[in-house]
Amino acid sequence: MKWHCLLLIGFQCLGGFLFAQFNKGSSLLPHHAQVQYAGNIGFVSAGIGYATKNEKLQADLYYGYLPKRIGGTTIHSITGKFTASLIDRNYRKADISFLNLGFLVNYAFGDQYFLFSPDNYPYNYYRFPTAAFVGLVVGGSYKKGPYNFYYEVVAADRDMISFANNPSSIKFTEIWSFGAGVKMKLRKNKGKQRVLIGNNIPPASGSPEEIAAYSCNW
Amino acid sequence: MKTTILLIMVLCVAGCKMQYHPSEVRPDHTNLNAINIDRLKKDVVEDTFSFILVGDTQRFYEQLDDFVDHVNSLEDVRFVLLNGDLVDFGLNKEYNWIAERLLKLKLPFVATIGNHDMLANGRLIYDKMFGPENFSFYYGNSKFIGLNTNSEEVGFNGSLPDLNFLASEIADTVARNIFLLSHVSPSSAAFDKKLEMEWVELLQSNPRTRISMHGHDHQYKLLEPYEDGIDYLHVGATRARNYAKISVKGEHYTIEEHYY
Repeated sequence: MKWHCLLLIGFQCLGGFLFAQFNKGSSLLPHHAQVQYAGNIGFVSAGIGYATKNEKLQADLYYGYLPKRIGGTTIHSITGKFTASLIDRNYRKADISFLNLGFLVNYAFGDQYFLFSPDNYPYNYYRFPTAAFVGLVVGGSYKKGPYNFYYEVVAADRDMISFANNPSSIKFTEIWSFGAGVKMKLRKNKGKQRVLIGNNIPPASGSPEEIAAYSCNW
Repeated sequence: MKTTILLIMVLCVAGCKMQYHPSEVRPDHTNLNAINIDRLKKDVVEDTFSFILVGDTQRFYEQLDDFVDHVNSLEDVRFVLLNGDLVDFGLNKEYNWIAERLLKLKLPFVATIGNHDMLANGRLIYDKMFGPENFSFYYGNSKFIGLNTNSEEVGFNGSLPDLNFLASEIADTVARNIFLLSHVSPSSAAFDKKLEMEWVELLQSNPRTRISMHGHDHQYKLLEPYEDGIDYLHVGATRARNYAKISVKGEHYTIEEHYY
């Protein structure tokens, strides 16, 4: 495994760690596991991910597989995906996100790909990596119980460049590709319970006034 | 609300082409060279004919659209040759975009492979979409030999260009004219220096070799670097809206530089 791959995994762990810190000390265990169909990162992809307490920010790591029978060649890749839910509504105990926006970084394994032009080139001839791409992610999701069904359209950086250079020749819709998946919550993401110090202990039982008075202390 | 989401999903599925990975090998068309060469075989070939040579089309879709429109308005041309770097990143979608535009040409077209076409899984896509990287065909008494000369892409390991293929094809006693079509020219830094003189000598071995046609340099050049009577023609990239028109009359030919 190349160091680049480790870097991506490290990046992902860092994301998880930061989220964990944000959530005040919850463990590094993934918050959810997910599977996805298509979406530029494989025929089927599976992985784990982290979310902030309100689940508006999500960081996911995928392993993507494209079999030769479907993709003409076998492609194994890993993907780090970061999305933010920008517009959401709660509706009948379900949380619907109308706009998820984010990006992904995909790294494909194989000798035919490179991150920097191979050694047989005297200089950085190709100024882009063929092993990796960045994709823009736009989508939506439907969360109910432990399940989060999501869909998204992804535009790869190179396709965006092709479109930007040829806006009258390439249609905007042509650069997007569809993907959909489901995330399953593995643990509650509420963060560690606050440690109560000194006298500030909630009354085990008490009058409604007492409980209300305690609540106000928060 | 569920139906709204479902509707959006359905629209997306309908609107976007499913792509599993940018480097996938799923071209929309196959065997384009063989199909077009078959079309050429049905042509009634006269002693005099003209064809067009166009250079690196990579990521110049708008200019390619104009090129297609321009060529479709010409009446005295029989076919179009593309000398590689069809795409920029070696991606499946790019190949499809290029083929979609080339298929709007009324004339048959034949394409060789360029160094950019070999990036990622590009070589597999080219092989599926266009066919073998080394090929030859006749148009009347004239023979056209297409070759993969992108030695740098294989680290100058001696496998490209395939000089055995060239030797067997050029030892042709029937053809009145021989034209070579490849992306990288033997004088380029991307061509295997150990094979350069062998290439030159092979071309010299048949006195009916006329032109060695190339791209890669993104600049129109007509040279005779080996002073052997064989022209080395380099045509500019599609971005420069440049092409060459070659007219053959018997055993003579003329080369014209054109812009559209």
